[in-house]
Amino acid sequence: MTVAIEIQNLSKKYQLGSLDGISLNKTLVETFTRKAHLVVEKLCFPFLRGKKEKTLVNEEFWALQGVSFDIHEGDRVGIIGRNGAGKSTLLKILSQITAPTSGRVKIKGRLSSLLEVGTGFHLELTGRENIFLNGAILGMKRKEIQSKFDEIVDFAEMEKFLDTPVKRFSSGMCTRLGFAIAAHLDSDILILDEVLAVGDTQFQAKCFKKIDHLGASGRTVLFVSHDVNSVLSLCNKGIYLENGIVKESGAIEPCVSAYVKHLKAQSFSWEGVLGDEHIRIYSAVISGAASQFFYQNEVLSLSIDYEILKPHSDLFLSVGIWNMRNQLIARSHTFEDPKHHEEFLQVGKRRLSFKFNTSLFNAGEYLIKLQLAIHNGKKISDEAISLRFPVYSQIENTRFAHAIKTDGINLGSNWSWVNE
Amino acid sequence: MNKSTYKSTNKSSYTPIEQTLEAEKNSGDYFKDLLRYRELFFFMAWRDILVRYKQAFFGIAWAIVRPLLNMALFTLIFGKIAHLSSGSTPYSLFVLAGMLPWQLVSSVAFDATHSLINNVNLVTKIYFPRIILPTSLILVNLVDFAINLALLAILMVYMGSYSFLALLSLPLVLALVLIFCVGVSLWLSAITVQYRDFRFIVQFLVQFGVFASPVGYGSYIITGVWKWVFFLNPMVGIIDSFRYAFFGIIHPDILASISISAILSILLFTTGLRYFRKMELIFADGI
Repeated sequence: MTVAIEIQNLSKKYQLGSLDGISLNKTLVETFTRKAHLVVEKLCFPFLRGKKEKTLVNEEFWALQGVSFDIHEGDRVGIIGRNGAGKSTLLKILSQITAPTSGRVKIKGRLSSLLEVGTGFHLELTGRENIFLNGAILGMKRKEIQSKFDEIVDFAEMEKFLDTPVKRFSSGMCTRLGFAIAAHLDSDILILDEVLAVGDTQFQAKCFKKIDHLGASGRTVLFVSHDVNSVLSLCNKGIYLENGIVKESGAIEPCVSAYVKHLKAQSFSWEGVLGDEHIRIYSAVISGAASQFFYQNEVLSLSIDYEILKPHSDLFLSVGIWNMRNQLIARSHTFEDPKHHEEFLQVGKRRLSFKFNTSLFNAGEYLIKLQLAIHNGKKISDEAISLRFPVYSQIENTRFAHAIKTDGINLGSNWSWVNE
Repeated sequence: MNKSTYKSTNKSSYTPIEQTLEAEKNSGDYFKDLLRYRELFFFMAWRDILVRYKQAFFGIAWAIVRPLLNMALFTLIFGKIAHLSSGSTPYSLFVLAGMLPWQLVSSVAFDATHSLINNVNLVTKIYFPRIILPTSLILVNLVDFAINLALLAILMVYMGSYSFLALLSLPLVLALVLIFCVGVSLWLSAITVQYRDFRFIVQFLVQFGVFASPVGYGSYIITGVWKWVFFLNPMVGIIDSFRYAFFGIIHPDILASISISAILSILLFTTGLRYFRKMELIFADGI
């Protein structure tokens, strides 16, 4: 197998506020005043100059540090990591949008990237016009676009809207069209950044199939996603980045499990002091997981250390479960049972625990958010405490693993049959 | 698409590309890339032309009405009120010939200050030779220029005022204004990324420049030592060359004024290219 992308010791430094000594986004006046300032300082305090200048350029930030790995032809590589881990910077360097600070990348073959669906769409132009424009922006020739035109329209399912301006398109339609164009590029390497996050489930499935096909036909695909499940189902190789450093690379499974492990460490607990004159919360911890995540049918236990300083009859605490699209899907309040309400308001430092069974939920990642409020009064804390837990399906390792795509309440499995 | 169709395109029209990306260095294949993306140059221009005339109610009519109104105004002020001379050429045509390059350069300058910033989403998300943005906008403005040129040609024939022999120099004159436009566009588009206030500076320069350049008057009315300061404005030589090409109008220092603006244009072009290429490396990070 030949190497498609060879990355050697790649680093990228961002200088906050100024780039390569050239300050950007500054007004001329600002630049002049700063220069004048330096001159005045130089005249007044000739010996302090060096010190002053250093503090000005000191704000640097390494988005990538010594990243090295090889990607072989036909690999479908999943790049995973938290926000700010350097995933997007890596893709931007590979797609030649920005240059690395040091290191080198060797790319063999034509590379095209879709870092955002619908980039370069012009809202005033029609679907048809935008297919040509976008194709050209992505590096296709006019003839190439013409020959692929029907295929693209067909894939995006939008024959009816070809002569409608894109400004009247729904975001879903934009996604479909954008992906359709990129997927029909004759490139050897395709880079996709979170692009499938917005499409509907049916179209997502179609895209996954298309990406699978591309891989099978020898195309190299680089894929960034927050969704561990789609990375697992699409990719055979993985790169796990943390703070600009490669933590794990190679086969996809170890990368994903390293990532999930890290996620757990980051968000299974909260500690601090939060509250007002009535109540204070000191910590909130998720426990009960056998490993770094929950399978369905495990019991999750949430423990909260808190202190009631001054009881208020309308004070309550609620536990809400949110999905990653920021929708509230389940909730429980301390006032739902008068006995619990009374218990909750007892003065003093106490530990409260709340248990629920994870089989309530489909596979996916969820957030627990604590809300502290006085009914019909003020909100003491709304989203400040938010813990994250992934739930894995028990059919994880079967071929149905990705049939369930909706994170949400699980209806259970109480099917029954009667013979006629 | 299946395996076989991909393989077949692979064989027929496809040549493998190998490239190396390294620190703070423009890709060596820059001009090869430029060739590969040449269609995008026209697509971007086509997009902007389409959008420009789609949005405007009167569409292309504006391109004709605007210079005619300007011509009438300038003829009134400089010709009828100030009684300036335009020799044997009708004052209205004299003004129109000066306005032709002025409008091209001023709208290119104005568009250039917006070109990279208005396309932020492209610059930060997709690779293509960035030089396409400031150059394709010249093509867009050349459409208006061509309309004005046709207008002038019709009026010239109608009023019977033209110099046939001097018209032969038109290609050279056009080349001069184009080189100047590219230089202006490269400089302004790149520098606005660094200093946003160039948008306002250009707005001011355009308002001020229409009087500092010989659009409404002949450059020969400036005399003495000030003449040489005046000639440092490249637009003087460009407008002089246009008036020569259409009507054969010359003045004693015309060679000097045109040479100065040719030198300045070439200088602007080469330094603009270098500056743009240098800044290009950090556009995506800094915009």
